[in-house]
Amino acid sequence: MVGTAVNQREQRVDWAVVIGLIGLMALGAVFIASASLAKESANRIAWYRLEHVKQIIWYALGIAMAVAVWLTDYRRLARWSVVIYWFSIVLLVAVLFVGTSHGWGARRWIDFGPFQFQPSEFAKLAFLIMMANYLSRPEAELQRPGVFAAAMGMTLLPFVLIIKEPDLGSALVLLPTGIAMMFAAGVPTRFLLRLAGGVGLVIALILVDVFFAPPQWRIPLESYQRKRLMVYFGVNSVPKTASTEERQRVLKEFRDAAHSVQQALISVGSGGMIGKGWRKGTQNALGYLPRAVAHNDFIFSVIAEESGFVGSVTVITLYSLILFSGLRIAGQARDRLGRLLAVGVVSLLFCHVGINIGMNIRLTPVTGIPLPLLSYGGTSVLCTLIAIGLLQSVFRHRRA
Amino acid sequence: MLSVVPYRRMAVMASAVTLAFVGLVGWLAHLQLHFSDDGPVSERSTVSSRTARPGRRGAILDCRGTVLAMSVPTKMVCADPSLIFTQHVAIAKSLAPLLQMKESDLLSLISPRVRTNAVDGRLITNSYVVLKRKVPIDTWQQVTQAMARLEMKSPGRRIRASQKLAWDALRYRSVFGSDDYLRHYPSGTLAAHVLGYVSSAETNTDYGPVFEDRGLTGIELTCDRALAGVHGWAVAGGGVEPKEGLNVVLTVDATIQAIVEDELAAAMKKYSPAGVCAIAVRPFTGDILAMASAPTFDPNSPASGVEGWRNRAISDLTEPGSTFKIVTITTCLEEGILTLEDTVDCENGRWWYGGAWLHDVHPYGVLPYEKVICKSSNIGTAKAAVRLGPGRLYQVVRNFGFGQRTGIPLPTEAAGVIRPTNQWSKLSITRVPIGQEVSATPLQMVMAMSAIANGGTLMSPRLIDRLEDSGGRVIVQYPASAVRRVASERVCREMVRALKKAVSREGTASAAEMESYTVAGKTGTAQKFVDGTYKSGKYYASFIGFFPADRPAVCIVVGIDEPDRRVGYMGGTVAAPVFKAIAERIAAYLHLPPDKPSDVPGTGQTPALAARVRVEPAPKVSRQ
Repeated sequence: MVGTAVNQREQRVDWAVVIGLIGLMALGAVFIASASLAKESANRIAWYRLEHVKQIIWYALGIAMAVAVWLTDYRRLARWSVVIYWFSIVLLVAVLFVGTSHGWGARRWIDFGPFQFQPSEFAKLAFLIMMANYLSRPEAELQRPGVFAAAMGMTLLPFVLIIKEPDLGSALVLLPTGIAMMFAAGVPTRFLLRLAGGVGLVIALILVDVFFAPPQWRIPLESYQRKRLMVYFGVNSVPKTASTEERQRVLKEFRDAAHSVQQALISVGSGGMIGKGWRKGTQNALGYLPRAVAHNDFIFSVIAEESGFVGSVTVITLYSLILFSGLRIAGQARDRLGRLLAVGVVSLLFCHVGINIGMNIRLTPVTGIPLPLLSYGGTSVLCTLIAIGLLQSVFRHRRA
Repeated sequence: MLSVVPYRRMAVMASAVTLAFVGLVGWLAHLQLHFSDDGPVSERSTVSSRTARPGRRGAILDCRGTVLAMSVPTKMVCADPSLIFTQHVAIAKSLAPLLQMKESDLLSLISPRVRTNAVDGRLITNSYVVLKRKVPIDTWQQVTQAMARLEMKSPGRRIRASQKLAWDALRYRSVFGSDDYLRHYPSGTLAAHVLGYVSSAETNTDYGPVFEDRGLTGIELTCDRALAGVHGWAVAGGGVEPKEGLNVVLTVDATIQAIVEDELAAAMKKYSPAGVCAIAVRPFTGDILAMASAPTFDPNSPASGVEGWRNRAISDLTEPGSTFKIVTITTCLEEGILTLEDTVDCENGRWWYGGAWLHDVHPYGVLPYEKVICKSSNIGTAKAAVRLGPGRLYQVVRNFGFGQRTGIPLPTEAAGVIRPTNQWSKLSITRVPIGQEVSATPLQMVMAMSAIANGGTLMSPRLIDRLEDSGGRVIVQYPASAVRRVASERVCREMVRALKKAVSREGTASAAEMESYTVAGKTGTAQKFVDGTYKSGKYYASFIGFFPADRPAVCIVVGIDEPDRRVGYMGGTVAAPVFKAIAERIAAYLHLPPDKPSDVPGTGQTPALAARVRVEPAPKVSRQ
C-alpha cells in the first residue's frame, strides 16, 4: 500500500499532456503576437490590450480553472451534469435574444462588458459531461433504443440551438463527438451505423438545401456561410437566366469568398521547410491573409507561413501528444464515466484540430471553428483548458 | 466491470486519430515541401503582374492629310534574368545579332544580379532588364522565334518532365516584349522646324513605369497635351486599354512646304549664306502654308544636326531694313499727310538731319512717293516720317504687330524690339521708318505685308487647323482670327499699286517679277548690327511679296542671312529671285488663274501653264 501511495503521489498529473499544453500555449502567444502585429502597430494599442497579452491572461485564468477541475473528483462534477447541461441550454437560448454579433452577422456572443462570452463553446463542454454521465449507465441498458434515443436528443438540442445562431461549425462538432462517445460507451454497432447514416443524410440534405433549394426553403444560413460552402464544393450558383452583369456580380462574390481560402493556401505553401521567420510572413504582414481572421481561425496559416513545415508538424505533434495521452488516460480510467469523459475530451479536441487545420489547407470547408489554445479567443481557451483539467482529473482519480 | 469490446473500440479510435494526423502531415508536406524544381515559375504565375501600357501618340498631318509625323508600334524587348538560370550564354548568342547588340553587352545585361533583400536578408535576383527599346515588330518576331528554337544545355542525358516545364517557361517568359512606339517622320527633314521632335521619357504610374514620347520643340511641344495618348494598364485578367492621342492637322501644305524647302536648299548652295528662311502665308486667313529654314535637321535623329535646330523664320531677329518702309508710307497715306502723287526732294542721296548724314544707295532728285517706294529711297521715307511724328509712328509700328509675339503656336518665337519714343534719339525719327533701330522676325514682316495684301486687316498666324481623334472626328477647330485693322482698304489698294511698281523693271525687285502674275513686294537689305555697330560686309537680304497682286493668294517672305558678297547681298538681287522661284512653283501647284497679259497677245497665258490651270472665268485684266 505504501508503494501505491508513493506511486499515486508521483503520478497525479499526466506530464505528457502538460508538456503538450505548455508547447501549444507558447506557440499560441508567440504567433498571435505576429498575426496581430500589423494591425496593432498601426493603432498604437496599450500593451495590456495587445491580443497576445490578453491571450496570456486567458491562459492563466484557464490554467487556474483547470487546476480547480483537476483537484475536483470528476464523479462529483458529473453529479452536476444535468444542471450544467440545462444551464448551457439556457445560455444558448439567451444568446439568441441578447447576443451580440461582433459585426459578423451571427449572434454568438453574450456581452459582459470587458469580455464577451461565447455560449456555444461552453455548451460543447456541458454536452460532453452530460453525455458521459448519461452513457456511463450499465452497458446492458445501452442496448435499449430508448436510451439511444435519449442520447440522440441530448445531442440534437444544443445542435439545433447552435445552428440557430447560426454557427454551423460549432454545431457540427457536436455530432462526431457524440457518436465517438456512444461508440466508446458500447452502444451497439447497428444503432451507430444507422446514426452515421442519418448524420450523413442530414449533411447531404443540408448541402442540397443550401445549394439548390429556392430561397424560401433554405435553412437560414448567413450568406457568407452559404458562400463558404459553395467555395469548398466549387459550386457557383449562377442562374441560367442571369444577365451578363448578374453573372459577373455572382462570380465576383464567389471569387471574393474564395479569396481567404486561396490566400491561406498560399501562406501555407510559401512557408517551405523552415518558413519565412517569425514576424516575417508576407501574406500575413501585408494583409493578403485577411487581418480579421489571421489571429483566430487562420492562425495555423500564419504559423505554417512563418515556421514552415517544421512548425506545422510541431503543432500537429503537440496535439497528438495530448490526444494520444487522452486516449491512454481513457484506457486507464477507473470507471466508465471517467473513460467516457476522456474520450469525449479527446474527440472534441480532435474535431477542432482536424476541421480547423483542414480548412487552413483547403481540406474542409471554412467554418468558424477555433484551433484549441492557438486561436485567439477567451472562451475557447477557457473551455479547452477546463476540458484538459477534466482529463487530468480522470487521470488523478484513476485508482480507487 | 470493463468489457473487452470498448477496448477494441478505443483501439479503433486511436487508429482513426493516427490516420487522420498522418494524412494531415502528408498533405502539409505536399503543400510546403516543394519537390519539383519549377518553383520559381509557378510562384511567379500566382503573383498578379501589373504593367502599364503606353498610349499611342497622335499623328501630325498637313492640311491635305499627308502624314508629317506618326508613331509606329514597336516593341521594347525585356528579359527576366531570374528565369534565365544557366542559359544566358545561349540566349545572348542567338539574340545579339537580331537586336544588333554586342554579345558581351547582352550577356552582362541578362546575367542575374544578386542583391540582399533589406527586409529579411535573403538573396534575391533581379527579374527585369530592358534589352532594347523601339525594336521593329518584325525583328521582335524573329526574337520570339529564336527563343522558341533555343537549344538548351542539358545537365544530364535524359530530360525530366519538370525540367521541360522550366525550359518552356524560359522560352516563353524569360524574354518578353512590351508595347512601345517609335516616332517617325516619313518625309525626313520636311517641315522639321514646324514639327519639332520628341524624346522618350519614363513616367511612373500606379501600374509601373511607362515609356512615352514627349515633345521637345515645335508642334510636338506646343500640342504635347493633345498628341499624348493616355496610358492604360494590364493586370492579370483585365486592365484598361490605352487611349490614342489626338491628331494635329496643320494649315501647312506639304507640297508647298517641299517647294519652299527645295528652293531654299538651292539658295543655300547659290549664295552660301549663314542661313535662309521663308514663310508662305494666305493673306486673308493668316494660314501658314509653309515655313522653312535652312540649314535644317532630320527630326528622326535630331541630334545629328544641332546647328540646324534654329527656326529662323520666327526666332531670327534682324533689322528689317527697307521692307519696313511699307509700314511708314501706309500710315502716312492713312493719315492723309501725303498721297503717292506728292513729291519729295530726295536731296541727291545725302541728307543732313539730326546731326548725321542719311544716305540713299542711288542718288535721286525730286520723286513722287510712288517712286520713293519703288526705288526704296531712305531719304524720301524719312522725310515722310518726320512729318508723321515719333508718337504716331511708334503707335503704328506697334499696331502692325512689331515688338510683340504674333502668338504662333511654336516655341522660341522672338518678340522683336521697338523702343518707346522716350528712349529715341534725335536720329530715331529718320532711322525707325526705314527699318533701323528696330528688330523684327520674318514672321512679323510677312504678317504685316499680308495685312496690306488683304485690305488692311492684321491676321494672327494660323498654323493648327484642327485636332482630330483617331477616327477623324474633329475635336477642336481653330478658326482664323484677325488681330486688328491697321489700314483702310483704299490706302491698301494704293500701297499695292506702289508695291507693284517696285516689282517691275524700274523698281528694286525686278528679279521677283513673275511670268503670268502681277507681284507686289518690297525688298530689304539691312546691314547686320552686331555687338553695337553695323558690321560691314554682313547683310540681311530679304524680300516680301504677294501675288496675284490684286487678288492675293499667297504672301511670301524670303530672308537670306549673310549671303556671300561675291554673289550679291541686296534683297533685290539675292532674295527676290528665290521668291520668284518659289512663287512660280506655288502658283502652278495651286492652279492660280494668271492675271497678267502675256507678251504674246491672244493667249493670255503661257502654254506650259495652260495645261495646269483650271477652267475659270477669264481673269479680270484691270488697271494698267
